[in-house]
Amino acid sequence: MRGAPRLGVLMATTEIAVHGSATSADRQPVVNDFIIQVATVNGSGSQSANTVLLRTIFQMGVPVSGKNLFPSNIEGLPTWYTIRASKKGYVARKKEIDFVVAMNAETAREDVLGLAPGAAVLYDEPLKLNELRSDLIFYSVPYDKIVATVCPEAKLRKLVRNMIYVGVMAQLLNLDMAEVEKALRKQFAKKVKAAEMNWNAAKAGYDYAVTSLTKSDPFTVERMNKTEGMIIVDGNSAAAMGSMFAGVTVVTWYPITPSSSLVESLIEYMKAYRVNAEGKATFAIVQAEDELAAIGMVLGAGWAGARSMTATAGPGISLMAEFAGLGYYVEIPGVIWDIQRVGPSTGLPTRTSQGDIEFVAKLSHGDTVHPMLIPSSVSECFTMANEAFNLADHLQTPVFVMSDLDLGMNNWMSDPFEYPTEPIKRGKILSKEDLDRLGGFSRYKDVDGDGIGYRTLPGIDHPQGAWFARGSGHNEKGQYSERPDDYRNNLDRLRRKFENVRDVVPKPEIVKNDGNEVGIIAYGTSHHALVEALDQLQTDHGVKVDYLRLKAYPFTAEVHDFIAMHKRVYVVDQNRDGQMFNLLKLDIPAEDVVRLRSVRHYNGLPIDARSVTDDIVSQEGK
Amino acid sequence: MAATATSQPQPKTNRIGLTVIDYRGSKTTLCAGCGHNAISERIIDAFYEMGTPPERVIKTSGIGCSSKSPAYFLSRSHSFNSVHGRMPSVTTGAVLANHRLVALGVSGDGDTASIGSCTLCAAICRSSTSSRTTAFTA
Repeated sequence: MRGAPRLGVLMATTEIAVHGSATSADRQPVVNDFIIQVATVNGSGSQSANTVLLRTIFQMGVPVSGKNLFPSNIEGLPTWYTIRASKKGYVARKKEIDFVVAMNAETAREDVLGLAPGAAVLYDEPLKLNELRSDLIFYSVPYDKIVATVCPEAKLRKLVRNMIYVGVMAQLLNLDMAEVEKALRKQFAKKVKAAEMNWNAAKAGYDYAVTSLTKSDPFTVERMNKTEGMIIVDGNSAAAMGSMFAGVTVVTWYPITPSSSLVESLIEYMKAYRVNAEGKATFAIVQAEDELAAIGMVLGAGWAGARSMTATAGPGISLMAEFAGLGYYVEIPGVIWDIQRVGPSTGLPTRTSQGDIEFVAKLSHGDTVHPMLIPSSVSECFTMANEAFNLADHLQTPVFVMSDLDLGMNNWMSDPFEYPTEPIKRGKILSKEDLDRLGGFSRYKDVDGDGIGYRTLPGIDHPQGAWFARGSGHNEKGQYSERPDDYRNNLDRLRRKFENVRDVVPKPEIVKNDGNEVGIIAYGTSHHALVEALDQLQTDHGVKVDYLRLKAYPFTAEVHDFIAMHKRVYVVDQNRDGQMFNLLKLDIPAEDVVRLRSVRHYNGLPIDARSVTDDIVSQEGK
Repeated sequence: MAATATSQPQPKTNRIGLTVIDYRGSKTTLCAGCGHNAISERIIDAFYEMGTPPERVIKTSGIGCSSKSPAYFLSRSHSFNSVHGRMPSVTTGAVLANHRLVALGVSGDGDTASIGSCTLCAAICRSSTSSRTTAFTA
């Protein structure tokens, strides 16, 4: 993992917003609408406990999302896991924390002091957190005593300790223990002994809560039917699955947070499903020596006819810049997943942003420009994997898929993915028979007027089949040329080709709300905060807005039209400089630029609805 | 003797019926007496002698005089003149994509031993641990 951890780092859970100041006594029950934040120590096995808690709520039919705020560290530093239950189906991060499970002595004080009055705290008895404040609801749990009764082996206690709070929370939140058991057994799958030990811990926690705790917070879960038939999956696994279905055969990579789990998942899928009758792999996955080699191999394989890909994050993208320009200029397909983290430089390796948008759009020197696909959900990670390959093959150019850490590494609910029915499209590739008929070809000639030439693949059995791929100046035939007209004709054709990309990339999703004055443009994971912000703007502030979610760069005609038909259009970016806002300004007619406003969120945490709403309300002067 | 006075002398062919001309490339633009020209000639001879179909060969290179030389032999083979020092990774990708290809990488002293030394060593390490052997000329 890049960005090795250092001791003595300053960690903060999250920004906390103050909400309702009502005390427990005068509060009505809050059903299926709360945020739990579990504060643990990295590497303590807390992920299993958190996943069981998340899945239990999900299995009870309540929409839920889980976000892992973890340090750039292997073991020992604080980590927070946020579970949001939302009957309305909101899955974005929310600033307000309702329930803290304080398992980490180091951060417990800060975790508690940052809470709004009325929030609940579950804490380890010796921490005596109840002495810190009088306006919170405290529940104390003697974890060490309970774990000793359910886990005789002292060295294993650390691993099952966390499952106790799952049991306690189940009792406090009115969760069905049968669902806890189901989620727990799914989590530990074939590890029967571990499952048994953890189940005993969960039951002990539940029993302790029954006998020793008095429910005094308002948060509770009631069964719903809003998750039936749905799955929970992370974006990187979905991208890996989509890539396999898209027919990838060569994958070359260099590990980097937060992209590594994409290729790691792909390795497992391919080993399971892409082996021939003789037991031989029909794919190659190579961990290269660095990102330069990784993308070099992608282009070598793409040139030779494979569907090839890599996955990386910001620092890897920086290293791939030279090859990205080669791919653009030589016109070779390849797919690059950028699971964006926080820059500049090493930045915050385990936090999320949309910080690579402008850089990737023009990645490399000279007049280079690349298509980008921007998934906002796990199902789009799955479908865009296929679209990216089709696009790369059609356009004969590298295509970037701009995911981010929030989408890639966190758990999201989704409808099940649909089996792809469209045949794979490989673009303009000439066969031996084509060459017999044509008697030869010019690699970069614009035969069809779309800027896209015809290519042959190495190994084609025809004496006129070869072409010379070169990053240096070339003419229509691919021959070395420094002639001014050859250079300019080629660059103009590449521009024409890129202009036509607008017609073939996925169109934006537009939500019309009575065609009023204000529009919002967002993309990627910001979408989930926007869904909630649109409701807040309308319900709390009476501001009706239209909404456009970008799915790709370059921008399609619909994007231009949307901007032209609104007086003010807010562009929401998860970066400091308003990168998509800038790309839009460059793309639209000069007279429309004044319509654009910018909303920017950049603190390493996933964007939340309240930040968007407050910013827009303030800019609207409401 | 059986030969008649009117028959033309047949050009010499290799085991797949190709002449040495079928293995040639375009005219060199390197300096007169440059060692690369001699190397190009030997590559032409070798592939002719081996009877390798030129269409099955790929020629890969990076940047520099050495890396221009693939233009001067085997014009019936696909070729990829990539970026400085990165011939090994492009070649590796291509042979991963199509195992039937015969890959010939060309790299000069700077391309190989300076900017591209790490990637060349990594390619050699990978070759030594796989059943495929990759030969590079420098």
